[in-house]
Amino acid sequence: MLATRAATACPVGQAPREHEADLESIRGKATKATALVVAGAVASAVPLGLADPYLAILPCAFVLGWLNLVGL
Amino acid sequence: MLTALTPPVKAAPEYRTTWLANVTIHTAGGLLTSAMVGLALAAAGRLSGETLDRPVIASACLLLAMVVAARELGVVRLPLLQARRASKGAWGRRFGQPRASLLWGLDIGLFFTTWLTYAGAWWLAAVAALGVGVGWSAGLFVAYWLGRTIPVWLGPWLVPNATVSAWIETALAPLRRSFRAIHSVTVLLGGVVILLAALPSL
Repeated sequence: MLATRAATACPVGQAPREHEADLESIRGKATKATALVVAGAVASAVPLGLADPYLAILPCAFVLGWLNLVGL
Repeated sequence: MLTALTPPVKAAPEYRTTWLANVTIHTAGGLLTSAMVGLALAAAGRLSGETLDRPVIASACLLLAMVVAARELGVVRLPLLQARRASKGAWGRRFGQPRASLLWGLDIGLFFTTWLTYAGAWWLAAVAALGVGVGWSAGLFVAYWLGRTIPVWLGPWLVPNATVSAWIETALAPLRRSFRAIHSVTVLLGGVVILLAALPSL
């Protein structure tokens, strides 16, 4: 099970071959979602930063949080 | 948390309500503790702010961002300072839902009490202690938590069927290098923005 753990401490096993298409689907969706998250963060950082430079860090924090879970 | 809260089957309508309640409670729990973490760091920062100027702290944050990026990109080998602990999966059996979802949210929302994936969390902690504002520091960790929780909300979309729930981490493993690179760039950019924002106060 899950929550958070260091990837290096818990090596992940080899999935059965019949799941490869599903795993590829997950990878594709995660890639698209990450691209959207990053694009959204950049798009929101600009107006936030113009209002107050410190606010531009909020989208950074959001991206870091996203990566903290998908990067497990 | 993806596997714990993602429905084991493509949800029947009656299960969807349960899933929605669990994920909402999980998110709310983490919002509370993550805001508290931000507030605590802001309070700690206010103490040091008596003796250190903000530009000095901002410069230190940029330096830390460079160290974090170097670590994540494999340029330097540094251990990741973290609690070697995961939120207890057994709470699901012991307390049932939605209590377990709430407890997981409260626990993981404390960030530094469970495993970390990247060192950027420490950079964020340093930034939150900058002394910009108590609300800002809380907002920083709330934003971090929301980013961290979104994949849980996307779980049913991300996972095509029940049998691959256990293989989510295996599926995402090839993307880790890219994620580390994005993480490093984000931290570096953030460090530069923080320093530029702090400079006018000279």
